[in-house]
Amino acid sequence: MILVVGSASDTVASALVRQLRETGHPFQVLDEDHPERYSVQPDRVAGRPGYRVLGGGCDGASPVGSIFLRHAVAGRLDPGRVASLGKLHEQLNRMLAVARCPTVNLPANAGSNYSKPFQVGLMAEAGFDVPRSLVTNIPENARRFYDELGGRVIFKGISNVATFAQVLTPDKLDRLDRLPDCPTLFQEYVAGVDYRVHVVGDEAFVTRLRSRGEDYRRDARAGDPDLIIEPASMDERTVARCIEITRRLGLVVSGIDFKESPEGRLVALEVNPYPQFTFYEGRSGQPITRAVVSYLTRHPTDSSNVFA
Amino acid sequence: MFLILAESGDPLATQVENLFETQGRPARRLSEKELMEETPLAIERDGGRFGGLLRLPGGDLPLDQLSGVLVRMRRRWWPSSGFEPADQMFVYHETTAAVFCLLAGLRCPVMNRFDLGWWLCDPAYPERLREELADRLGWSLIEADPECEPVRVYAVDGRLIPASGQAVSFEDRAAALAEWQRRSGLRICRLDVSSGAEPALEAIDPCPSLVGESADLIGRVAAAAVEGLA
Repeated sequence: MILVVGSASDTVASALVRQLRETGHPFQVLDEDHPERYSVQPDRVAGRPGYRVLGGGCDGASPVGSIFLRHAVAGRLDPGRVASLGKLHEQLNRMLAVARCPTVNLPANAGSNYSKPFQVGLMAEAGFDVPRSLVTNIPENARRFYDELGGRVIFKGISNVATFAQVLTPDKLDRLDRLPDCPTLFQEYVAGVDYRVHVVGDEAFVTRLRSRGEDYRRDARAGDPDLIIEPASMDERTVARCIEITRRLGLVVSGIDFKESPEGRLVALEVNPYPQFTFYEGRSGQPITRAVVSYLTRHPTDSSNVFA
Repeated sequence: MFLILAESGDPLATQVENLFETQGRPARRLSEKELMEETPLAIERDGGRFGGLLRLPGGDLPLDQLSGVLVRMRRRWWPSSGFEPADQMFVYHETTAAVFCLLAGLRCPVMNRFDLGWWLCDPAYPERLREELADRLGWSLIEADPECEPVRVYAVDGRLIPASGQAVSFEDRAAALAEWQRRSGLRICRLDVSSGAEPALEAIDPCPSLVGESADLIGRVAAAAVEGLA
């Protein structure tokens, strides 16, 4: 059986559940929109720590072969709901720390994009071409970086708190005086076409995105009709590198962002451990959800220590 | 220059600072607030190259001039109440992500080079550590028994410094422990081990406070830490 953990209102989890229904493979959903319904109980299984998930439709009796997980966020600042969801996440994450079945993806391995410049370092070590980066809260260092790169600089948040990349244009230079309040990530601006590579185990799906702005996500949100999202290809070495870094980070699924300059320089920007792949497959037609389901269904349940 | 990131009441940090002073090695101590709020920084990455500086009172400290860093932060820093609550949260994460990037990227010894589970106070992090180490040492895991005092052992780069009177013999696992410490970045930690016939792991403290430990024990842990940093 497959355990799907997340919010019923999450488009990725919903698409996965639809696909699972079509395959007829047994699955159970733990809907984090109702955290009060569930409890995750430690138990001993064959002398080792194990867990049973109870509540909702889960009776804690069926062995789980694999887990698909996208933790929900408390949509509103209701203290009761935040506490209840936090408690469930804590119980689930303790379970995942000892679970012997594969999890797509383990939260413990999904942290690298908490610090984008840290992740850029990991990508450089893995052999990707990465943009020159500066993290600073010193205005004169940011100005020097801007000058060294001939004014071709973007800025964005350092952590995984959602921010949009913006080009540092001359009219924004005055805002650098506010840097002492909070460090910021500055990066060499690579203009060109965006690529997203979704890795699912040993498979990869390359998608090209052509937009007018510097961050296609903003154009997509604004409903830009000129945003083009289509299947594409990449050289085999880069694709192999995408699969390898995903594996090395301990992830099964990832969404890796690239920019390709008009001169053909392919620059890796970010590895997303919880990619919104339904957005891309909905426009490119690439069967990413099917690949995730195929990965989840191929794991036996005999040695599992998680029951739901 | 050595950097000690610790509050003033931290006995291990104080002892390490004293040892550096005795040895004539320059060291600078910064509290969490001083590092997160009052020390301007610049961290540069260009391909595999990592560099930058910390702007300390008295002058800039280039990161490549750091000889070692002792990290004893209590993770209690929160941005000033001068920010709106939503901005406080944003500044907290941006600053923490910057400091994590700084410490993860340094080429010099960093004790401990904590992973994100520690920085983000993930409640499952200690459990994960326990599972990993028990697996590596071939030990079983045991839940703490409030009736039975565990044997507390400080481990510094695989060197075992028992805190309790009772000793647990696991010298034969010292190499495996040292390798786990190197890979996990937890070069100083405390293991709580059951005192039964077969050793079993009760808990790991990845950043033990050492408050209340004897001066002799603190001195031995500090000496091992200084050796590791130097």
